[in-house]
Amino acid sequence: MKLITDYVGEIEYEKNEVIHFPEGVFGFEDSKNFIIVGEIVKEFPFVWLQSIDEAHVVFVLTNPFLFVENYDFELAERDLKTLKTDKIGDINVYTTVVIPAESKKATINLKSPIVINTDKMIGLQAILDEDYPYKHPLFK
Amino acid sequence: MLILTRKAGESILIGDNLEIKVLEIYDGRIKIGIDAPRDVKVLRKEVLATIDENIEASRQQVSKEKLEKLLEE
Repeated sequence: MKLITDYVGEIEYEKNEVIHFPEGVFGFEDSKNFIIVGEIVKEFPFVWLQSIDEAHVVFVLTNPFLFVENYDFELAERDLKTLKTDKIGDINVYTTVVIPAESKKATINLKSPIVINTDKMIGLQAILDEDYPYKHPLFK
Repeated sequence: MLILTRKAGESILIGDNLEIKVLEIYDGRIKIGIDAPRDVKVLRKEVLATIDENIEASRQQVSKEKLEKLLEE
């Protein structure tokens, strides 16, 4: 399938790459289906979470564990139910990246990680009980 | 701010059709039940901050080139 996006360009994807977000992402509840564009590697630790329902909705994500030591949380039972798993091994964790004009001040939202059950291709944005900041500096 | 003390099982009424009930208190947490009309938006306050972050994150048009540059700096 092909998708013309507003910012990431033209993307080709397979049906089995679509991640279903039953509740959408906070503030973007109409986008229930996303694909991950790219792959996180050490040299380039970013991917795009592109909505396939709304071409203009896209987020830059990273793997928080690459940037934050001891980032650790428990998912609420309700979230695990939505993700249809109780095995943490099935879950990939990402955080959204905000890059302001002064890009060195980029931040990641540690309070609300994007968690994806890669086995069943279900995702959600959690809001942690743990006391993590919404804006954590990406660079020290 | 109006401050009231409630025990588990007790309620507060706001207006004619909003009820907030303390269901359970355990381990430093309070479980709250809210009875409100469908058109009343009920949000955990943290959700608002996350919505703001998401809007900011989605507004930026971040290309691969820009991200690569960010890593070089």
